[in-house]
Amino acid sequence: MDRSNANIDLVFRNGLKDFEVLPPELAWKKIKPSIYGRKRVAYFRTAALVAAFASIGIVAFFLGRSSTTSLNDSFIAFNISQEDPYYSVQPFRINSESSIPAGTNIHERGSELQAPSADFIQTDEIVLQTVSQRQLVQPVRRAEKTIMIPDISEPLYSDYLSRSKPVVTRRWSVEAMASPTYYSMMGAGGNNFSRQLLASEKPISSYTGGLTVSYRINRRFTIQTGLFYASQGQKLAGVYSYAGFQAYSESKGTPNFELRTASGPVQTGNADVFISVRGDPERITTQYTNDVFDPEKSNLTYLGNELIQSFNYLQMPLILRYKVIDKTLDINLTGGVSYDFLIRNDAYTDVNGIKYLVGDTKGINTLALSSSFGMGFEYGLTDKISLNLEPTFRYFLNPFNEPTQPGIHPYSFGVFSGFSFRF
Amino acid sequence: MLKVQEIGEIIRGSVNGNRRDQELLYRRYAAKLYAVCLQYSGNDEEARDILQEGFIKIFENLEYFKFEGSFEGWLRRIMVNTALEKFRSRHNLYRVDDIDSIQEPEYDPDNHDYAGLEAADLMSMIRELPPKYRMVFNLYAIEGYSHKEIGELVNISEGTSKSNLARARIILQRKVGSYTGLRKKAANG
Repeated sequence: MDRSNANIDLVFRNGLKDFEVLPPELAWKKIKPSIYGRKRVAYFRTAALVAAFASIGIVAFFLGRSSTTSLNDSFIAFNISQEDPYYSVQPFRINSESSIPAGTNIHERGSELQAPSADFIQTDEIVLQTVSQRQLVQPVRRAEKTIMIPDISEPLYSDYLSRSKPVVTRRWSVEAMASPTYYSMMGAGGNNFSRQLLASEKPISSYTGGLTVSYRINRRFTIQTGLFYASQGQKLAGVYSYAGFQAYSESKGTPNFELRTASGPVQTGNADVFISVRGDPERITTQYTNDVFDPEKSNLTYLGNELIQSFNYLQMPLILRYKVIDKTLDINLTGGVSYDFLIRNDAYTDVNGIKYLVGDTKGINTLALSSSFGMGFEYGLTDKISLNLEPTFRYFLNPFNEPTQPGIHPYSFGVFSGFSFRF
Repeated sequence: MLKVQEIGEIIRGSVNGNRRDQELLYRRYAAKLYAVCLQYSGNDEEARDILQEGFIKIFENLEYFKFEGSFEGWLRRIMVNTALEKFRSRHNLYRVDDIDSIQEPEYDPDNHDYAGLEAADLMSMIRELPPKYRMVFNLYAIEGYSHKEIGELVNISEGTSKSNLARARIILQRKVGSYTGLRKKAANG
């Protein structure tokens, strides 16, 4: 018998080894748009990324330029009377790429003023003072900058010096942030049925919150990481669920129902639940179809006509923050990636605020890589504490459910708010 | 027949979005892979669906092919996996034992002459099997999976996999027997 079994296996294995059948021409016509469409999405995604970075660069460049050319504003800020005679308008250049601390002597040599080597500090607020009859108090943001020297009266600069305090640079900060988020998915590729499912599903209220730690690399750039908890999901309308099915179920551990969704198949893990879909029988796979089993006649308890898919993640972001405007209200541009670990995956029916667990979604990627970019507003309440507001867009780079729904990518938008503490 | 180097260039071109290379790749392997799809499906429409979804996956994952091992084997695995997914979504909630009961035929292994069987005949025989028997027979006899692996893939027990295979073999042997018997009868006049 064994020999005959091996023989029959071999007959088919060898017989079909090089068998070929030409598929109908229509098959390639149907495959083509999905491949080309996907490539276009990839191009759009790359183009969007390039455009975002280019925008950041351009905005940063122009705002950076405007902040360094606004030195004349500083003169006005000192209440220098326009009627005061300027003793000298000789320009001079400090040959240093760093800032010069308050009190550094500037020596006169010929028609030029020269700064000696000094212990430079990296800080925005510095005071440049000359020793001569033409004493000067002038805040500058960049040392290598041609500035004009006005003749300022003694009381004026003394007053400024008395108000000027050395600035302490705080490089580290911790931040607590939270946001309600709008969560949805976009599909590329897949078949028509997947796209129909995607269109029929509605996002539920989602939220994200967590703690971050930031390190200020220099005046403009800050690197940030942390840990966030995110809850997101969607609502599947037209899925009717009933309780009390346990008595009728003949299942021996296998799920009684499998519901097709844009995120992947939902399989019932709870043997007590009966689900049915009206008007779209292709959406559900079960032996308990409507013509075989009627939940109403069997007096099952009606739970609801919506099923909720919920996914909870722990997110570990790595964000680069660029300070575009450094004033009382700072403006930052942020961008980076995040590793998202799936920690919970439920499908349930909401019965008057109580979750009735139905099962879970199969095949969801447990580790996702998402990109994010946004704009941050930072208002300093005190020297150490700031109030932050950050609208942020997040996009999952890898497919949500690779084995069954390769083209589905979730995205979310949230306006994060919170406080940061610098130390 | 394309050389390995040419296939490599077509793969790289396809990954880079070159439409000509993508079509070349499809044309090169479509017939072979469509035969796999037919082997795993009960009707032509299902086979076409598997072929389409499988090829979309192939193009989506082509960049991950490492050129370590047979490209054709890699393509075949994707197609078989797609067929499995399709199968799971349609059949995993049905118990085969409940669907039909097989009348086990009398079987005489020495009475069979396999010579002269055409591939198309073999394909028809496989496709006429009940879905679960067909899947288990294909995975075991053609792809070389163990019963334990099949149990995990198809979501059945190891024992059910063995039983399905045994029944599939009996049906196939019966079909082969009928075929060869008819042929002998025809030859004897």
